[in-house]
Amino acid sequence: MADAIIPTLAQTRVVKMARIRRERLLPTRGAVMVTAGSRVGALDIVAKVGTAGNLRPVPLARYLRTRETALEKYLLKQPGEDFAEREILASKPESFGMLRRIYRAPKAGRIAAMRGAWLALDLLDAPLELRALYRGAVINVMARQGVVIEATGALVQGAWGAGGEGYGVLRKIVETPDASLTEEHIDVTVRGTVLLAGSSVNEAALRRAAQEHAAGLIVGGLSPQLRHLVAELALPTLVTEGFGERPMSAPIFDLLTAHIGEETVVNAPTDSFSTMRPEAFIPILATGGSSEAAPLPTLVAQVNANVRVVGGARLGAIGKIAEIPTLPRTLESGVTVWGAELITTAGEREFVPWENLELIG
Amino acid sequence: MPDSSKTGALLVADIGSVTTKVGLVDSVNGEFRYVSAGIAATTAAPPEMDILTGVRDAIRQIEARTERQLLTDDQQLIVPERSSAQGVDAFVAITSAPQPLRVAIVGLSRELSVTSAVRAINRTHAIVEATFALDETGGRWIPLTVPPNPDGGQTAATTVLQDPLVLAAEALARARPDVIVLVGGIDGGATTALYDLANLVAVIVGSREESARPIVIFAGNSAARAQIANRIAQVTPLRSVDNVRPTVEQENLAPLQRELEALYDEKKVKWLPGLNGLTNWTSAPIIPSSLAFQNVVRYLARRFGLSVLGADIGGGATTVVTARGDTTTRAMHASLGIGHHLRNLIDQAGVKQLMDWLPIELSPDEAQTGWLNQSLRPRALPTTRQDAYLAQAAARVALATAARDVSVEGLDLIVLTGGAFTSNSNLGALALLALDALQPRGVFSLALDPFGLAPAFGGIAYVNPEAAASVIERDGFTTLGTVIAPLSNNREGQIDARVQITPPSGGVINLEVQHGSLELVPLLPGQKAMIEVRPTGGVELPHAKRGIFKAEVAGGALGLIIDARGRPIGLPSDPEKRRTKVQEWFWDVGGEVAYG
Repeated sequence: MADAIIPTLAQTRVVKMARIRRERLLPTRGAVMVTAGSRVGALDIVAKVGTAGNLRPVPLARYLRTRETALEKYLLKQPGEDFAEREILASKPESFGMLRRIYRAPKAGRIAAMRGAWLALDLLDAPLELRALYRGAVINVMARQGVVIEATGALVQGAWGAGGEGYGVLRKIVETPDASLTEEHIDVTVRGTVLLAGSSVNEAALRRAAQEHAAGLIVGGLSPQLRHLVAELALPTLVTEGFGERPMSAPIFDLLTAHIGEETVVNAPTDSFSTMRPEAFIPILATGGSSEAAPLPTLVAQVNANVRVVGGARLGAIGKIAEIPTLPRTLESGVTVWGAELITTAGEREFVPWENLELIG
Repeated sequence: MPDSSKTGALLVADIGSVTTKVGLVDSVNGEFRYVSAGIAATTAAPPEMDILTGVRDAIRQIEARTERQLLTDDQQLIVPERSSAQGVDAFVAITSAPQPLRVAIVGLSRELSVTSAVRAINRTHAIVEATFALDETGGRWIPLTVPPNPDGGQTAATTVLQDPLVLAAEALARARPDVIVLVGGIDGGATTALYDLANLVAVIVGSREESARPIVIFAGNSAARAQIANRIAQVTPLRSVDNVRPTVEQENLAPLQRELEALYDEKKVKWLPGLNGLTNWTSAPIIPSSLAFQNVVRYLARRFGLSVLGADIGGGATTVVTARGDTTTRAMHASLGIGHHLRNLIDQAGVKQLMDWLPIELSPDEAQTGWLNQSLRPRALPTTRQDAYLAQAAARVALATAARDVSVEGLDLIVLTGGAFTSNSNLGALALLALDALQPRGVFSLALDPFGLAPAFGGIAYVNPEAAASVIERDGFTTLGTVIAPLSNNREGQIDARVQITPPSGGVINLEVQHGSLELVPLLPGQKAMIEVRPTGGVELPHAKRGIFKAEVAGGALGLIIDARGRPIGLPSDPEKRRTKVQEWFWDVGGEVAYG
């Protein structure tokens, strides 16, 4: 009999204890503040840069009403030099020296470059301090760029995320994975905490959470209307299941519930070009030796593997692979596909195409 | 290049942004034919970060189906083919998996040079991330509110005036493109403002770390090249190409497009994770899928002397290629697809436009939820009717958007490929998708790539042109039928045309085609029939002579498709009537949309 065809499946990592490595990089080159081998806490600054690339190109020749070839002689500061706020950077005499046409720095900064009629000012109004976020050990330093941190703890990957990164104590706001988070659940005590919600969150609750400076939100589903709001509010939000009202999967809810009151990271970049999967991470000190905090084990699609249904009518169902048929099957619609027989947590047995399954664990 | 006369079996791989398809092509009775295919997830992203994993998954499916060993025990391709029919003689790969190039455009005039540059970029694997047009930066200074700065002793917000030129330059400096395209000026025209723009680009690029500097392409006034080089080449690599707008009236997009394609290959394709392993399997270049598809469309146009339009709706990008004689054009939206990029489609087109094509009642929230979840897991098969309708509606809008600037007049053949067409088995629904999205007019054939491998077959031409031609002609496309689409302003129910069909079985079928109708007339694949179309007054049908169109037309899986819905197709404004109308059209072409 021919072997069953088992493709590489998508996977979502939900791990009680694992060793992970994460890069922490500055958006532009700066200074790394730690050395390889040092231990860092989540809020420790690992690298910083005076400006996050806040460049202001200034048409200086136009402002001074001069030709670009004459500009250099009116400059009081040269490329590479620092300047203070309101400091005069260029001065041109007019009316036989009776008056001067000047250009003052709008803020403190450094002259980044000059070319022709243009001066580029690197303004210091947005200094960036990059925090470790992941409590662990610095295992690699990339000069002027950042570090790689190795950390041990519990990991939950999300389906979608936005709002950036946050860190705080994990707080359970609703009791069950199918409960909705509303504004009544939120008060001043959420400040600095990561909120564990259930199946959904409404707009008022999102706004209130941001207003009260919650550090992050982990929720099963999110209304499509709110996806841009999450980014606007800069509330780090991890959506574990997908869009719409979706009860949080039991393995995820149970794992997170076991860590209520512990420091939790939510890392959910908004950039659509990022290949990083949004995640929540709870640092745990490995005490059981190397075996307890091994690198993430590889997930394999095989009998007894834990899976989640990611498409079709059973979207979100969790189960185990019970059998892998050696031949493709024909669905009700007439399409013939390869897949697996599952037993869901509700006890139902069902054939699901491989395309609609992901490994979870 | 290998000696094609010695090439036996071949494997072709199309590594898409969502799925990887691999096809086996072998000599059957002296002709190269498609034999089998496998389809798997593309594995360019974490955790695999190796496209070979997906390619091997797909190859293993072919091994299972054909009982032919293609991989060694250590998972390397067996090449060349062994006498025991193990392995293949050649391997060819095309890809659309890399992210598109991110481009910023800097130009003098929004209406002229910048618009031409946008048009050129929209035909390549690139997206426009930022534009700076000098003629938009004049005018009054703009009041801006500055938030309070308690550290500086300010407790209240203040208002400052800011130069619009500086604001535009700051926005440009915030963008993080891979490439800056500098355009402006007609050839031989004034250069001063262009040099000023070059200085702006140089000052922004020069302020960045050397490793983070974008490449600059200059595609403006060719008389300015030397001076532009003086300003830019000191800070970053500069490539100069012919002016995209050599005169006010004339556009010349091809040189910029070629340069962007070369950069896409250098900066994106060659950096695909796992590509090195793949190149060990083949001496042929790994080319972008859109280029391979363009080659297929051009081949069909030249081989059969036809005007051909090819549409490819993929997970990441949507491409429309037209080939008429020696002229080939490509329109491409590298960030509009029905996979990960479905969220871009929602943002750009809007939920309402997408919902216009749904025959079922859903709230905007429900519909958007379905589309966004599809974008999170783009490989998932639509196993419910609702999901299938959502996917079809999105595909319509993606194709319509990509084809917005494409002429759909005077076509002889439309070929369809991509995930939107291969994941659904109802041919009528697929034909309807193409007709709704492209709204072509006239009399033309419609054909579908049944295996989703036609672009990859085009890639075979790089190792064996004879095999490529054979497999494209014989297995590349399934003919759906001949479409008759008159153009009229009649009211619904009025007669648009009288059609006489003389099938090979004898007899004559006479039809009165009412405006607004969509009909299928059976005509089997391989059969031909004489048709005579007499449009009524005011109704246009290209190629009709003295008011009559006569031709011998070929049948297909659907037969003759008479689409008298007019152009543009009018959708009722009332939601319920619109849904009913869309549903009627689905029924007219063969029932429900297929799913699962």
